[in-house]
Amino acid sequence: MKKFRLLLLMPVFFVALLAAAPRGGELRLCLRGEPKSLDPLMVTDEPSEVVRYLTSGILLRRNRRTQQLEPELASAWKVGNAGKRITFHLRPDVRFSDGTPFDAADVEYTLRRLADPGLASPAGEIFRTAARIQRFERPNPLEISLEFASPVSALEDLFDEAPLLSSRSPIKEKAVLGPFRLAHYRRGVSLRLERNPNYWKVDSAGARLPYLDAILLEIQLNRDIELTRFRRGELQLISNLDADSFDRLRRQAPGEAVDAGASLESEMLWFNQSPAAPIAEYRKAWFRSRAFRRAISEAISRKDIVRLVFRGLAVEAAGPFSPAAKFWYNPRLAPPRQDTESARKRLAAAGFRRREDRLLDAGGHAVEFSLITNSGNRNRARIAALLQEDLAKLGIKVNVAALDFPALIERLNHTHDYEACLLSLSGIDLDPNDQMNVWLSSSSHHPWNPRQAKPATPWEADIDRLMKQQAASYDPQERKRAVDRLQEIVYEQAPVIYLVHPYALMAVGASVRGTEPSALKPRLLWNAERLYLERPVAGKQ
Amino acid sequence: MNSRVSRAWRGIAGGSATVAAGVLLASLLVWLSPGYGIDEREADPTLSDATLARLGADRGRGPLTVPRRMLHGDFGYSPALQAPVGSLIAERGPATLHSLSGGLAMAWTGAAIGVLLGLWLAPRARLLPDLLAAVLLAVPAALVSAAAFLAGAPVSAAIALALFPRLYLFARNILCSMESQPHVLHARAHGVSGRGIFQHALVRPALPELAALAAASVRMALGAVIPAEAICDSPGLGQLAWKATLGRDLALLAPLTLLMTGITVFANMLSGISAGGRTR
Repeated sequence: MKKFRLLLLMPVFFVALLAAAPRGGELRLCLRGEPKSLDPLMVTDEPSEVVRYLTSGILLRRNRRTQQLEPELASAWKVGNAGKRITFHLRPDVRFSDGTPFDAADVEYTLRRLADPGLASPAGEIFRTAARIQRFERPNPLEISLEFASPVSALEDLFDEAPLLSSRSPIKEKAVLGPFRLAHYRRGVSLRLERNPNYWKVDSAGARLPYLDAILLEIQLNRDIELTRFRRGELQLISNLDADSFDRLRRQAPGEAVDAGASLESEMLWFNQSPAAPIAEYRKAWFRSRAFRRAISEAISRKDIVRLVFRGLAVEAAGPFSPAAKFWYNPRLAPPRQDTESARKRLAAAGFRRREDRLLDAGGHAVEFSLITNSGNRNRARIAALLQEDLAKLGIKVNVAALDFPALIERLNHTHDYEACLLSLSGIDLDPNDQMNVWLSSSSHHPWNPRQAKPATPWEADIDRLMKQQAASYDPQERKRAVDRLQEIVYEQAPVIYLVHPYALMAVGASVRGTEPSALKPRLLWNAERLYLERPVAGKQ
Repeated sequence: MNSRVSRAWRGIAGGSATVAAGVLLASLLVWLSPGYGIDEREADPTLSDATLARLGADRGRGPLTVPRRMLHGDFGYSPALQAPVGSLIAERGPATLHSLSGGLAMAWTGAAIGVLLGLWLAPRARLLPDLLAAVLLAVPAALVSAAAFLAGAPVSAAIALALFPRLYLFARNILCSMESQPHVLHARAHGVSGRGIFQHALVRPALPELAALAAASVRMALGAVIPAEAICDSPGLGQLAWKATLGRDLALLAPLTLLMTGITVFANMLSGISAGGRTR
């Protein structure tokens, strides 16, 4: 009888356990712009990326803390044939938000759409270039194998960013597999995501995830307003704070300021070496001179940039990979230390000479250049001011021009009418393949000399070769060797002068639990299904 | 009466021309601005040239495209907000109307209280509203809006604070000039009560000019609504205009300019007709 009573009590205990699980509430945060597309396959910008991340299901996920791959909708996977084949075993009984079942046919449908050149999905770029799928095999509804034309480096990583669609749902891409689904969108104002009732994941106690009822993403371009509203308790998370705001928040509410260490972003400077640039030939000659670029790099005090611009919340940079990219970072390369004397000697050896307080080239031209950057970025304006000061010690005059972003892109990509540019490389992922367009000399994103018919210098040919070599190999160590060598060439030739890697700074409200801040994007939302509020905020419909 | 009608017609014709010129000028300025038509996705290093070309990174349309479409009743599609312009304006119109009406009501109430304090109750009491108006007049509308936002006040309060000094000073000057008229001084000398003088010798003759000021206050409020909504983060037409400008969204900016210019011209016309040529 006692046993019977215990059995009767078990469901009650289970219900009580579920009730005790942290559940409910609406998390509020801001997007820094309007999402350009809500179609998960057509995402290009960061706001759309956040929405995609919160709503779409994926096969594998890279844990943003450990940087290790974890199973998501694929419960297991196996890479074979030296990186040319991958087999996924899918989770059973998974349904899209509208109740449509999920199986291998959906995976094939999604990948075929991603690879469709007519659609030109940005998320599927890699499936149309380096990772062309030759054959799909579906031995049963929960297993799918993909055969690629050639070995694919970082093959599993491709599936961290491939949002899965339903091949059968009547509501098409609106049927989602992620923890949330779009409930309401007010253009220019906000998006409300509500819990996906069919989300497959459960926590260790067996409670269905996500814990939150909803996430309200408000569209807010002004960072000061965002911080003010956070301090008032109207917002609970800020995924990206600048050093000034972080410092202010750290003094006002130390427990709410979160520093995840160096981010993947780099502040960098480069000179225009494009033959098509409408600038004087003697200036182009400076910019093509390795000695000139190395001297500029040596004359800059990265330590001052870290201290004065980022309030100590950045790390000096030596190359394109920050310490946040644990595997790819090359610790053998030390950031150049400011050495004005050595920079002077380099310039003298290259034919530059000093007259009074000005530096002259061999032809007697005073060395002076304009530096463009984007307007509205306080940190970059301060870096430019420090560069002016540092280079004045060499007798070089720098004129800074801040342009708004479209005008800047026009100069960089279309007219090439600039001399030097100070900008950040952001929005890239861990894997070097994400920087393929930056390093290949034929690419339009190759910063200092885009769209080269053939590499202009032997070291650029080396960079091209190394990038292609690492992209064609599935062996991580072989790839690492190639990427290390690439970093060394960039360090020696300084076509891009890396300055600092800013820290990933965030704000987490006192009521938010379950966050695992990471320097990798989406920094605070990568485990959104496990976030909860200690004092839930009732959501407005 | 006839002169009023002809003035009204002249106002409508002039107003229409101003609206058309405003739209053309706005379109031309945006079109000529550096970087117009550049797709920011071009800066994304993860996208290849082929993908960018397929995504239709267009280099922008001519300055006449949008005005020409609007003439045919097509307000177009906002590329920045990915929505029809008509629906965006319809969505945000009520918020702005609410802010504007609240701001105007508060500003007029404040101005009326200030004037009454000075003129009717005790002339020395004028010092307080004078001082407040002088201070607020010296502060830019954007700063007033920022202060309102930090204090958690609604947008209407920011608009009211921007309008109050202008309304108060105009209304006070109008009534003061009436107060120094010979017939008012004569009535005072004969012991007519202050209330009687206020009603019959000050307010009633000043009514046309006050009506003109009321119409002009709509135009002033419209001017204040863009910084107020942008800074106070209120999703109205002002914020939309701000975002359209930042995003070089010509398709959205042109109809918004048309709307704002139309309201301003209409308010000016009313103001002119009400004042009957006596505005100062």
